[in-house]
Formats: sequence, C-alpha cells, structure tokens
Amino acid sequence: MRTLVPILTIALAACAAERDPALDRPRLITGPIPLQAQVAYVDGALDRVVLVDVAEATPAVHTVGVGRDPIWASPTFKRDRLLVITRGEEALARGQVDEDPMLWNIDVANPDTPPVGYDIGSPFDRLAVSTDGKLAVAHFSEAGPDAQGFFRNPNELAFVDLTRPPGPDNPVLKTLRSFSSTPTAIVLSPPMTIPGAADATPRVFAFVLAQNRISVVDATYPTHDEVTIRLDQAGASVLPREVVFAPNTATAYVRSDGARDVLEVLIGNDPPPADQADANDFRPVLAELGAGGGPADVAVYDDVDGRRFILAATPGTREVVVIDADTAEFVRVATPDPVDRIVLFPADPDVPARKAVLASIGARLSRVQVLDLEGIDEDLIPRSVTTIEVGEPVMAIEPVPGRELAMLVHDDQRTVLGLLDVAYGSVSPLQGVGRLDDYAFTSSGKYLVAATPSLARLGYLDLDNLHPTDLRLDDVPARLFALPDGKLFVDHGDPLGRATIIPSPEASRDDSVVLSGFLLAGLLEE
Amino acid sequence: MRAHPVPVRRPDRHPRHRVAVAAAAAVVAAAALLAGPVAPAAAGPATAAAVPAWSLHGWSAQRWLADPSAATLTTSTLDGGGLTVERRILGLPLPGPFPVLHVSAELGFDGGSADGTTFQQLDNHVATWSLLAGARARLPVVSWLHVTARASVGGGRTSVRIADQGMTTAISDRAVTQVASTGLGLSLLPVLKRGSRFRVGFEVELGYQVTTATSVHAYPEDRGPAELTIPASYASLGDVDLDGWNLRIGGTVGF
Repeated sequence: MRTLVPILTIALAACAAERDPALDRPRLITGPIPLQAQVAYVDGALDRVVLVDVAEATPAVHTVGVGRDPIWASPTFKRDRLLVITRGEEALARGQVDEDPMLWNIDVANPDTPPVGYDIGSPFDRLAVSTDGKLAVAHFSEAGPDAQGFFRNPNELAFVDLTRPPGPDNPVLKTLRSFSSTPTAIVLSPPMTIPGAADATPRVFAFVLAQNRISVVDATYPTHDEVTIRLDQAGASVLPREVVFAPNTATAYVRSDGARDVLEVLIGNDPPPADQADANDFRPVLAELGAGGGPADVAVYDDVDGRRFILAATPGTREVVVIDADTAEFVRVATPDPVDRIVLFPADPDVPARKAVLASIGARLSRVQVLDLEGIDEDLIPRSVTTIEVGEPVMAIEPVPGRELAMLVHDDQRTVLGLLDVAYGSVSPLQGVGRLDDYAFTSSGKYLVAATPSLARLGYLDLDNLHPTDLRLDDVPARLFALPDGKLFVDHGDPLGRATIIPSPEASRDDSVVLSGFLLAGLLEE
Repeated sequence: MRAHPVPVRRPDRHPRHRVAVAAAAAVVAAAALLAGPVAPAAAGPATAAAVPAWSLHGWSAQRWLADPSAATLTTSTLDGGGLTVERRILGLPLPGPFPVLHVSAELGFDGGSADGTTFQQLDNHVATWSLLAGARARLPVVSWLHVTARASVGGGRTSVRIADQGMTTAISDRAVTQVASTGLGLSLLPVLKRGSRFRVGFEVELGYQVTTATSVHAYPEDRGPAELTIPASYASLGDVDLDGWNLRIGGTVGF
C-alpha cells in the first residue's frame, strides 16, 4: 500500500489534460481600436483579435485568430478593415511553431472570413496605410531592434498590395538608399495621376521622412527605384515633419524643422529609358515656397475655383503666409501673435475653406485670430486678421465636424473649455467637473461627448444650443468613442473586458447596454 | 485561422438547471434503501467475522482534471474530500474461492476546489460539490482485505471565479451539474474482535468522475442590483468540464 499510492499518483498525473502554453504567456491587450460598427482589441497572449460588434441592439463578440505575437495594429482609412502585424516566433519550446512575421488583413464586417496573411519577412512594427485602403507599407519605428533576431535594417520597407493575395511579388521588400539616417515616419499620398505620364494609373507615393532627406517611392510600383531628396544641401540640419498633398496637381508640401520655407514637391512626368524596366516614370520637381520664417504649421485648401492654397504659420516672423500652389505667388499676412496652429473652416476637406482660425498654443495666449480666406489673393481686399479674446490661455483647439465651431481647451487640467463660434466670433465658456481626458463629437456633429476617469458619467453638450446634459454610468470610463452609426462606445479599462454601449446621446440608461467579460470570450474553448 | 462568434447572455443571472431532478431521485432511492431492512450476512470462511451493516467513510481526494477547459483555469488537481454512509442490503453467494459478494447502498457528499493562474495575470478558483447516491459491491478477499467497486450518481454545483491580479475586478459564475462517479478500491479492515461487526479500516480507491459541463459567463462580482444598473450582456467563456481521475484515500468505520 505504501508504494501503491505514489505509483497511482504519478500515473494519474499523466492522465491530466495538457495545458496550452499560450495560457502561460504574459498578456498584452492592444486597443480599443474604433472601427465602423465594431471596436477591436488585439490579444497578445491568445494571438487573436476580439471584435465587439455594436451594429445590433445586443452587442456581439467575435474572435479572429491571427499569427503569433501581435505587435502593431492599424485600421484602414475607412475603418472597414484592421491590419495587424505579428512578430512570429521560433519554435524553441513545447507548443511553439516556427512562424515568420506576418501582416494580417481582417475584414471586420465579416469576421467569419479568414484573414489574409502576408509574409512581410521582417518584424516591422509600424504601418502606413493609403487612404483608399489598397496599399500598406510596413516599416520600422525608431525604437531600435528588439531582443530577437540578429540584424535589423531600419531602411527596409515592405510594400503590401492589399487588393491581391499574397504571392512571390506581394509583398515587395525594398531597402532605401540612405545617407546615414533612418526613417522617422512614412506618409502615403492619396492616389495621384502624374500629369503627362503615359501610364495614367493613379499612383500612391510613399514619402519616407528621415533626418535631412525625403525618399519618394512609387508604392503602386514598388520595384521601381526610389528618388531621394537631400534637404541639407544648404548646410543646416533639417527634419521633415509634416506632408500635405494636392492630389489634383500631384504635389506634396513638406514642412520641416530647421527649414525656413515650405518645400513643394511636384511629381512630374519623366519617361523612363526603354531598356530599364525598374526605372521611374516620374521626377520630383522641387520648389521652396516663401514662408520665410520656419513654418510651425501648414494647411492646404482649395478655393471655390479649385485653386490650391497653402497656409503656413511662421511664429518667428509673426506671419501667416498664403501661397498659391499653382503659381508659387504668396501673400504675407501679419499676425499680432506667434501663430503655430491653423484650423480651417469648414473643416470638411471637400468643402472650400472660408476662414482660418489661428492660435498661439506655444505662447499660451488668451486670444485667437480669424483670417478670412475669401479673396485672399486679390489686391483690392485688405488682408488682416480679426482678434478674438477668449479669456483663458488656449492649450488646444479642435474643429467640430460639420459646423463652424471650434472647441478651445484652456488649462493644463483640461477642465475649462470654450466653444468658439467662428462665424460670429463669439466664445462660450464651459466648465467641467473633471479633467477632460477623452471627448468625441458625434458623427452628426450635434453633440460633444466628454468623459473623465474620475467620474462615472458622460457629459453631453448639445452644440445647437450649448445645453449640457449627462448620463450616469455604472463604472468610470477609460476611453470614449463616437462611432459612425451614432452609437457611443465607452471602454471601462477592465482587463477582463467591460464596455457600455449607448445608442445615441438622446438614449437613456435603459436603452444602453453593458457588455462584460468580452476579452475572455471563448477562453475555455481555445 | 479561426473566427467565431461568441454568444453573449442577457441578464438571466445564474440560471437554474433542472438536470438535478434525476440526481435527486437517485438520492431519494438510496435514502430509501438505507432506511430498509439489513440483509443477513452470508456465511463462509471469509466472513468468519461479521460484516458491518453500516459503514461510514471519510476521505480526502484528488482529481486529475482531464479536459482542456479545466486546464485553462488550473494546472492543479482538484483537492477535496467527502463523507459517505453505507448500508449493506444484500449478500450474494458466489461459487469459487470467494463465497460472498456484499452489496450496499450509499449516500455521500463530496467537494473540492482548485486554484490556478492564466496569462500570469488572472487568478482562477474552481470549486465543486456534489451529493451522490449509489451502490457499492464489496468482495472480502480475506477477512481483513476487501475489494470494493462503487458506482454513484447525483447532482451538485460548480462555481468558477476569475479575478485580475492588478485590479479589483472579478467575474464569477456557477451552475448545477449532474455527476456520475465510479471507483475501484481496496479496504484494509482488520478484525478487532472475533464475531464483532465493529471495524476500523483504511481505504484507497481509484475512480473516474464525470460531470456535465458548466457554462461560464462573465458575471461581474461588483455589479449592483439589476434595478440600479444599466442592462447588461455577459460574454460566454465557454464550458468548463471537471471530468477526471479520482484518487481517494481515507478511513472507514463499520458497525
């Protein structure tokens, strides 16, 4: 009997169920990521995406498996797909499998459709996605190599055509020529047709920003050679920061730290030699547009005639420069303050801008200026700004979608707000009880919704009459999203998953629903 | 790659199953048998000492959980114990070297629990108890060594709690289950006094326990009363199945 029990114990232990090694991994949740009618969370332990679908009255939870070790996730511009980069792993222990770094393309509206996996070859940790959702460029961040692997080439990029299945030519891996610098960011242009080019295909160009250089890659034909533009020819060190595009003229405008002017990059036709298959059919034509004082912010708009203008704020010279993109002629408008933030109204990019609100965020001044853009290029119309006293220092300014209103944040604690009516030049002060850590404008533009983690309540502001209301929640909010279908999604920061879904700002508590435990959904069936 | 919808449940908090009806019937039947007349002990060399009419069993037990759903929550054994009262109801004469097989009815209670960790972050607790009724066959190999075989059915309850280590949030759920349990064991029952029914002994039993799977939903522990809170839906975690091999070690007293 003395030996029987230990023998039985050992034998029975062998009969116990084997545990999935994934259950012993540390768990990192990425998200929430708002999509169309879904909100996504990426589970780094179970290698899956949890989709909370709020399209119906009762929320549904779907899980979609991806590869091992998700490290980055980005939605497409329309938010109808989620792209996830997974690091992969080497099989060094039980339960592990060899897997290369992959990019997963998930159709969030149809989660039953298996995600498409692209072998991207290197463990990229950032992603740039074109506005049409057809192209993605995976690249490295400036974080440096991780603990795995041996070499890392920071100038390597993976161009993924999301409209085609994976194959030997998709993705395309490419290493940019470098001048001792590494990319700091990648900006993809909207599809642009090269004027005069034999190939009239609208192209997406990748502008790879790095210290003292910009590389331009035709992302539609990534095997073609890139063009590198040196920015340090004048001797000064230049770091490109912001790129805005004029797709109708195939032009990009670059604002850089350390540069006096805005750099115009016109993508011009340059037919390639017939015997060079990988040669480009474009050539960037450069021009320096006369901002003249080190622009701190740029904005682009088209007037009612379709002419494109660039606004550049140069706080060093206390000016705003309005540049005609077609002729490079410019108009200087003096400002009383060192303006470093430009917000155009209407904020809709498809509507010609009529006014620009100019703020001096860095100087923390308690006034803003309004510049009337109509007729700005006509000599007979005086060019001046109108100053509006707003009472408190302006820390941030945010346009309200669909309205000529701007929300002003006045203090570090974000408890005092102002609503600027751009048309009338009036300011309505608003006082909050807590720090405004998260806010959203509803898709209709009718409500400002705000949340603070110290209060289990949502604040609403009816933008028609500035009437404030609120809704009591069961738990304090951590994140707040206004989804395109008008619903509000409040994440409560619970590692087990807890969210409140509110059909609309007019809805009551009884109309709302709390969804609990969705981050553990299906855990026992994994 | 898999993609599947995960059901969510509307507020029908802690639903009660009706599956315990059958188990309750078995318990009642066993109780009736326990209350009935005791069968006379069959004569024979191996039963030179009188066989106890009543026996009490107490044990500690370990269950090695055999289902992956349980392994998700814990890698430990389900540790617990129980008590059973047994009454001899039948003695069947046998041909061959072992002259008699004693058949008993029994009624017992057992329970156990296990703790575990998932993702190095979630503290899990699984607990279960059950009320079982069944029959036991006892074959005296020699007067002090009996081989026993047991089968019982019943009902019980399983509860699951999952708490995050870094925060105070926790979810829990519980449900009624049906249970079937079997075992094969050895009893050491030294004869204390010739002709007396009184026995004190030691038992080891190896068995297998089957329980109906428990559906687990994410009911928050800190949630207020339904009339004061926003209507809620609770994600399904799936079913946890506590089937597994049982090892019972304990003592018995017969009289």
